[in-house]
Amino acid sequence: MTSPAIIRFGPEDCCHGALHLPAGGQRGGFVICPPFGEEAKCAYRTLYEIADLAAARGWAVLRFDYFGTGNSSGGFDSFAPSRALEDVRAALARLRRECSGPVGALGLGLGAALALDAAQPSESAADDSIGFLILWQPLINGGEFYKLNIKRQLVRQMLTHGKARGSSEGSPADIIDLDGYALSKAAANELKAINLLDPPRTDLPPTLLLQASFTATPASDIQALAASTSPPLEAGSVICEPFWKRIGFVDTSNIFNSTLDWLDKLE
Amino acid sequence: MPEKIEDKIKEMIVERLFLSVSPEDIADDDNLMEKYEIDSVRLFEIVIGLEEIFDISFEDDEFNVEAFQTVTSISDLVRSKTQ
Repeated sequence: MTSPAIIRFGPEDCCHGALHLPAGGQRGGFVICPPFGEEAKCAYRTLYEIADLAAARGWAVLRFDYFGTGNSSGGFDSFAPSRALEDVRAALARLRRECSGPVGALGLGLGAALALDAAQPSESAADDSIGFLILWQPLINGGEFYKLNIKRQLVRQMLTHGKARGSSEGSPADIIDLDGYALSKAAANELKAINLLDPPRTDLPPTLLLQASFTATPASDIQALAASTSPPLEAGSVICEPFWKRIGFVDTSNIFNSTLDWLDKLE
Repeated sequence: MPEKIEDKIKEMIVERLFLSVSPEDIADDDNLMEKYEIDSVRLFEIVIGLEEIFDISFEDDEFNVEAFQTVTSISDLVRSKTQ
């Protein structure tokens, strides 16, 4: 396997990407939409590995950082979900230049929510349809996600100082410290407003919806998402530690195998 | 699902933290942080697990490390919120 090529794309080449190209013939490609904040850090290696494994099976894969994150341009407080959605679309457009087959998106957490929204019908005249979606543990309710991050911050403070020093209400400042990541108040409000159930997402391409959990039964919110879309999705669950929350080795073979098997059948 | 609060907590901890021990191996007074190397990430999983299985929500002033050190102390906290 060759090393991924580093590329820039988007307005003023603001986005940093790593392009994994197959050595032989191509079946198509997909962009990887990372999660947000600490989750992106924890999931970094896993997302690299799925890109590498998929490239070995003939898929071109583009990993990238949203504006204001990772190696892309912009200060961290310039990150916003609406801008990140534009970055997803720019990544898809960039990958289409490399691919002759179908181009899709694989997203985790916030990235899965963005991928799902990028697949919604647009008024653009451009051919920007998405061939398929792979949604790993999508962020379904942004308000709940925000509260969980605040709570995680309280737990971290508890271990450091013996008890929490902050507040579950979060900060009233213009720049919010969300579990160690600076977020503008406007971006925080965008994040909190995410709701994948309302309005129901429609016109979905072939989609793999996967939960990674200690249980083989999809959680109620994952099932609700599956039932709300058009066409309805089949919610799957693989036994896998939540690698996007862990630092250190996690056995991700179950989610890799489920995803690669699904891609193999996608024609 | 076990009935006793302590047993429910042990089962949840083993399940959610993917520990390679059985719930019965955890003693009520084991220091969880030390014995099972529970860091902030795993402690967060425990907090969320407790909130889900006991249908409770912890207040900011309840995030006190002593309350989460052993199964006994966690059980006391859960009882105080459910009774």
